[in-house]
This record gives sequence, structure tokens and C-alpha cells, in this order.
Amino acid sequence: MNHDKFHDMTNPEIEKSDATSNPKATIEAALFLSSDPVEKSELLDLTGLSEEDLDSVLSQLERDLAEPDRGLKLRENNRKYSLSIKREILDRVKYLAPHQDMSRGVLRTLSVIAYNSPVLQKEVVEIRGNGAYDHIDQLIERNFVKSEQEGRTKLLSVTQYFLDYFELESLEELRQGENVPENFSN
Amino acid sequence: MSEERGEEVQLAAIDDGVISVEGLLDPGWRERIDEFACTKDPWQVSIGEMAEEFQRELDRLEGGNLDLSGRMVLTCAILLRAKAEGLGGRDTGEEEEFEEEMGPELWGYEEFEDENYIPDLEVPLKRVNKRTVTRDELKGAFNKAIEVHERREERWDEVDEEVTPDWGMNLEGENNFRVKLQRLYRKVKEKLSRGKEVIFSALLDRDTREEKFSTFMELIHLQSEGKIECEQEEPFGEIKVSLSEEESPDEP
Repeated sequence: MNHDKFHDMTNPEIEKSDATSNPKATIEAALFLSSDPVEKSELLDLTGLSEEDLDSVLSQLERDLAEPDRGLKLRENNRKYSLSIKREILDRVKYLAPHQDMSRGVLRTLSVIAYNSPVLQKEVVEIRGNGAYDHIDQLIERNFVKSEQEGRTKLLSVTQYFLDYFELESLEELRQGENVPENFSN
Repeated sequence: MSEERGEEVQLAAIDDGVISVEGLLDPGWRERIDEFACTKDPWQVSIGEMAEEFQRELDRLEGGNLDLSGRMVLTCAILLRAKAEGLGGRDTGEEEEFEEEMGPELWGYEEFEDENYIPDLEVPLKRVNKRTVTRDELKGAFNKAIEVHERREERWDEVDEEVTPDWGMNLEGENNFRVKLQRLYRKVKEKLSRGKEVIFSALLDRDTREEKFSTFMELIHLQSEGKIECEQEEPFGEIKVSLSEEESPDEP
């Protein structure tokens, strides 16, 4: 992520004073504005806080947002932070933002991995085509999927972050839902 | 557009960041192009290649479907604009035209008479609205992935039926291949009667790729039937052929 992004957008003097006087509001605004998750290091630069103080502010923000009268939640993944819609509200408001935070191709590849996890990479590529290699790299980069070497191919499985993202207790919950598609390998 | 063609078009529509000309005949083409322009990197699309594909499509259509041409022009225009915006930032140009038409003297503010005056405007920042994926969308994506895969398989099956060469295995049905196997097996046994092992190249009648391939296929079949053993010590090295233990000539 470009570290100069936020610095370019506002007057540095104003930004610094606001960030120092009200770091929680600054972080909330930064996370709201950014289309991608924001690195923790960037939040440290932005607020000028120590890591300990930043953790404290983030915890406070997380608690604030966890209140039932708030529609957003704070999400952390690999030292990157983002705001997302609470899942119980998402279905009602999703039509206002038709664009998902991953491309259609990547989502399809993720779905094939999720419904068959753990699954060999070569099986995923067989289903999704050669473009799946790039999708898998992106999914590993975003921590949705992890891979282990299995002979000449890789064994892919979803991560805890995947479960957190879709607010699932386990993959069974996903597979046992209504209208669950059949496993392709059956 | 025929129904059969419509199905083909859905498969060929924008998928995984690729735009096909045939996809433009999909009923939802405009929405998908707009979505593509908003969400994808326009530099990943070669308008030149699209134009060439369009030319080929026109040749193939022989002027049969003229809707396509207009849609192609609009598609290129949208993508070109997306690329231009990527270079210079989003700017509709309407504001500049308005300023030129009005001229500062007509606005009634003295400060605008100064050519060097730059108004202190602050453009509100707008969030790019991307949201998390729902579970239903994940299920839908899986269904779609399987559907696309099955249709792709069907198309491959059709292609296989049309163009798959028989590699000499079914020239006259299975019997022909069986005769070849028996001939090769006899050859292996005959050569082994004079030594402990025989190498692959010694089994070839001709030094051609076709001969090597068909002999190799026959060896594989003989090995899978448990009649011979093949051993290759290093990749691309010589293959040593011997009779399997059950078929050993030393046995009574």
C-alpha cells in the first residue's frame, strides 16, 4: 500500500494535529476512506502513536463499533485493518454497493477451495483453468487460503480468517446450509 | 441470434478479466462492461487485440448481425475513457466547458478578474464502495464455477470427438492394436532370449517420432498387463525392458 496516500490528501499540519488530538476519529476516517485494508505501520505513521497506544485505540474503536446500534465492524488480518459491514445487516444494504471486495474469478476459485477444502491445487486448476494460479496467489496473499506442499502439487485449505470473514464456526456450517451445491469431486 | 449461439456467448462473456467479442452479444453485456471498467485494471485489456478479433468476427458474420459493431465501438470508447481517466484522473470536461463559455467577467466577482486567482475549492473525498462477500454469493460463485467447468468439459468432449487422432491405436479397431502388442511382445522375448535385457531403441523399426510414440504406447500397455517391466534410470534416459517375473522365460 502506498504510504503517501493519506499524506497527499490533506494538509500535513492539519492532519498531524487532528491525528494527535483525536487518533480514534482519524483511524476511523482512514479506514472508512481506504478501499483496501490499511497496514498497521501506516496507522502508526498517520497517528504518531506508539504501537501500544495504537493497539489501545484500535481496541476502543472495536468496542465502540461492536455496540448493537453500529453497522460497521473493525476487521484485522495480518496487521492490516479495515471496516466492514456487520454481516446481519449486509444482505439488506448490499445493493447499495454492487462491487464486492474481490473479483468474480477470484471468488469462484475461493468457493471451489472452500467447498472442497482441503483440496489439491491441481484439482482447483482443473476446474477453474490456468487463471486459478493467479487467483490462488491472491487468496494466499489475502490470507483466505493456505497451502502446503503435497508431492508435486499443493494442498489448499481455507484459513481461520476465511471463517472469520464469512462469520462461520466451521466449514461444515457452510456446507450444511440450504441449497448447498454438490462437491465437484463426487 | 440463435439460442444455441446465445449459450455459447454466455460462456464467452467477460470472465476472469477477459473480454471476448462474442461476449458482447450477451444480453447483459453493457452492465458487465461497465462493471469491468469500474473494477478491473483497464491496462490489462488490449483494445488493439479486441479490434482485430472484432474484424475476424465481422468476416465470420458476413454482415449478419450489425448490432455487434455499434456495441464494439461503445465498448472500446468506455475502455479508452477508463484508460484515459487512469492517466489523468476522472474529469468529465463539462466543468471546463462551462467555465470557458461563461468567462470570469460574467460571474460578477471582482477576484475572478485576476487571471492568477485560483479559488480555494476543496473537493470532497469519495469512498470507493466495495463490500464484503455474502455466504449466498460464495455459494452462487461455486455453482457458477461448476457450471462453467461442466460446459467447458462438454465443449472439450465435442472437440475430442472431432479432432483426437487415434495415434495408431484404433486404425482398425482394438484388434489391430492387440496384434501390434503381440508382435512387440514376441520381439521383446526373442531379443531377451539372446541377453538379459533389451533397450527401447532396439525395439524400433524406424527412427521416427511416430514409431517411437507408438512403440512406447505398446510398451506401456504390455507393462500394465504385467507382461514386461520397464526401467528408466534417469529422465529422458534409455528405457530398459525385461520380462516380468511371471513371464520369465527361465520359468518352466
